[in-house]
Formats: sequence, C-alpha cells, structure tokens
Amino acid sequence: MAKGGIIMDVTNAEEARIAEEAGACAVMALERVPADIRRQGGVARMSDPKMIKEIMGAVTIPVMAKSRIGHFAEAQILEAIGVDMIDESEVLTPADEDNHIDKHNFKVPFVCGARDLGEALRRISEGAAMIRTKGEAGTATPADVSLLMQLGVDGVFVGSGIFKSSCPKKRAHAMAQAVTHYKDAKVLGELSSDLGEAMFGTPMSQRSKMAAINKEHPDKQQIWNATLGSKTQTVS
Amino acid sequence: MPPSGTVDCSCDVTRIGILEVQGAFLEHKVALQKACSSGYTKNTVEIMSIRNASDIKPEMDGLIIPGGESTTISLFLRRNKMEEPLRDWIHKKHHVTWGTCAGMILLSKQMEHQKEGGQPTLGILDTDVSRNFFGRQVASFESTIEVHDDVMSCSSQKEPFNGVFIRAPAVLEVYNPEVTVLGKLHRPEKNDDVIVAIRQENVLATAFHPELTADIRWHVYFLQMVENYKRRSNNTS
Repeated sequence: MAKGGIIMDVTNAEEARIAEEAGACAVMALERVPADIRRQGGVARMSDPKMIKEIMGAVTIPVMAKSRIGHFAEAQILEAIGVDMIDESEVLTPADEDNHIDKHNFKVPFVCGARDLGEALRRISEGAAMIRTKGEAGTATPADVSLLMQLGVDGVFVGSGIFKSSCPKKRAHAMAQAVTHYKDAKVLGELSSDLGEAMFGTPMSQRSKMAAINKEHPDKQQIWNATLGSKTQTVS
Repeated sequence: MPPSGTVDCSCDVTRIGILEVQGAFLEHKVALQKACSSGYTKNTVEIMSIRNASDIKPEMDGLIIPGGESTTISLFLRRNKMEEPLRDWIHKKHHVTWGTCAGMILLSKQMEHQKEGGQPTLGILDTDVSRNFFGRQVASFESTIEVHDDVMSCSSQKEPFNGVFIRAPAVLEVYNPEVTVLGKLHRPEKNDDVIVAIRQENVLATAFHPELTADIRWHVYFLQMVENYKRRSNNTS
C-alpha cells in the first residue's frame, strides 16, 4: 500500500535504514542511483541479489528492485528472491526495445515508466500495477514533491535526489513529511529550510534540445537516449 | 478528482475524521459515501481530513485510521505531535475508531515484527498484533472470511465477505474479555483460524481492506456503531 507515500532509491542497507527512519513507505534497491548509471554509461543490469537481500533484511517496509525492459528472466529471479515490486525500468539498459515483459505471468506486481497516456495504457495492458513518470529533471526538494502531489499523483519516487544531496538524512525526512503536508505551503517552507545542497540535476532546456534532435532523426537509439540520458546531454 | 465531503442521506450529520497520512484514505472516503447512501444508516456523513494535530476535533463522531505502512504513519504521528491528541480523542467513550491493516497495528498495545529500534503505537487495544503475519507482497491474497453475526446483521446482504489481505497483520493474542472477535480466516493448509477482525467497546480493527472491495458492509457496520454511540451520549447528556 504505497499510496500517498514516498519511495526512495537506496544502494545499501544503511541507506535503506535512513529511508525507513525518514518515513519512506518503500525503498528501491539498486547498485547505482540513476544519476551514476547515466554518467558511467555501459550496460546497466539487474542489481546483485545479495545486495537486494541485505536491504530486505535491514528494513520492514516493502523493497522494490529494477529489471531491464523485456528481461523476463531477471524479473523471474527478482520474484524468486521475494522483492515486493519489480520496476521494469528504462534506467537500466533495455534487453528488448520492442517487447516489454509479459507481466501477467507474475504474482509480484510491476511498476513501469510512461511519458504519455498511450504508453501508460500499453504497460497496463501488459500487466503493470502502477505507472510512474520518467525522463523528468529529477525530484529533489519538498517543493518538487508538493508540485507532483498537487498535479494529482498517488505517490512520489525519489531517485538520486536524496543520497546525491549534501544532507541525505535531513532531506529524506523533509521529503517524507512533504508528501502528506503537500497542500500546506507554510509547513513546506519550514521543511525546505536549511537542507544543504540538492542533487546536481540536468536542466530540462538541455533535455529538450536533445528531444528536438530526435524529432529530426527519429532513430531508436536516439529515442532511448532521450529517455535514458545519453552522454551528450548529461553533465558530469 | 476526489469526491466532495458531504453526501445527502437524511437529516442528522455524522462527522467522520479520516487520518490522511499515507495509504488508502481516498478509498475509505468513497466507501463511506456509498455506505451512507445505501439506506442502512440514518445520518448524513461529513468527512474531515486529518493531517495535523489541529485537525483532530472534538465534534468528530468517528475516526478511520487507514492501511498503509505502519512505520510511515507512526513516524509521521510522532514528528507532528499527533499521538497524544489522537489517544485522548479515542479514549472518549462516545467516540468510535476503526483501524484497517496498518491502522490495526497502530491501535494495538503489543506488536511483533517491528522495525529495527521499535515503532510507536497508539496503544489502545488489549491485543498482540503481528505485522506482515502472512509474509511479504508475493504472499498477499484474497479469501473468504468468517464473520460474527453482529456484522452480518447490519444489512440484508448474506453472501460471505471477501477479505483483501495485503502484507496484512493478524491478531496473535487477546488479553481482555471485552475484546470480541468479529472475523476469522480459516487456513485449511495449516488447519487453524486466524483472528482478522476485532472490536473492543468503541474501537474496531480489521487486518484486511474492506475499502478496496465493492462490499460496503464493514463501512455500514462502522457507521451504525458511530450512530449508536452518538445517540447514547446524546441521551445521557
């Protein structure tokens, strides 16, 4: 029951404990946060099951993990480990760009990314239980959380935003509070105070330049780059 | 858009507060409004959102603590200094409280499988409740439950209840004879009966999520409880 809550990306048991103590309603276990995956390039795969199990042992809240798009074998392994939800994620390198996982074959629920209604409906028809946005500039502040909640989302995923900031613990606390207090600008003002430096994001203006190039040359690799973040658009 | 707070049923107004920290609070709102217009309750329902201590008002007649993550909700209650005001409100004899799933955990005095370092509860019910009793998400399930006559008689519907159990808790032990078991889950593979719904005077708790089904009987039962306690307190005052 993740509704009305915040889900945080964590890379080890210690970060998972910080997320649970902050009030996260679930954590996403992965070896590297999306910002690092984009910067480092190469093929990004499912995380080491040992690391995922350590995180599952460290917290009592649900633990999610990512599989590559179309990689049903990775998803089978994640289900067998006992993760509480699988994110078929564009953050990892797609194993199959045309065919996503047939998620009806699984008992574990799936979350998938979508940029528009068509994409969301395709994922739902494949069996996705939850839809998240993707390819945005990053959720990093209580104000970002409030903006998303006021737009009508059911809950908020935070990728690199917490553990790539200067005071992860304080920021995690503030963002978890912001999901419930999203309508109260006065409280948000207090929550936003003295959080240190936010993560280093990529401005949307640089991303839309990339999208414009894709319109002229709509080849598949470039479309994926626009979603995944290619080396040319990511400032390291 | 979420439905608006008031539905016109009849004359009197019943005020129900819903704790909107995290979890299935919108679903409870919808189910309450359906229950209110079902004809099995007398009063109009006014729903009040609770996100701050100042939202816990004495004029509320009923309170719902929805399911979500018990750690998330309990940490929020502590940080926003809402535990004592909630406890005080619940302890008033004419107030009726209902906790579903995480709400049941938060109401219990004792709890198993807490997070590392423990987690605070409101400590109302004389019970021992186990978090995630049935296991993780992949062990979540739906099943028919056996329900006490008190709940069955609240409407004319007689078909069995379908319980939705999501990483659900269960009552391991009851320490007070005033606790009535209202629902049990029979597990043929273990040949046992698990307590999944109880009532201790003016407090109701269910391990499953009636608000995620189309079946409104638990909401009808809760609203009837609220009306009874309200009528009693009006008669004595």
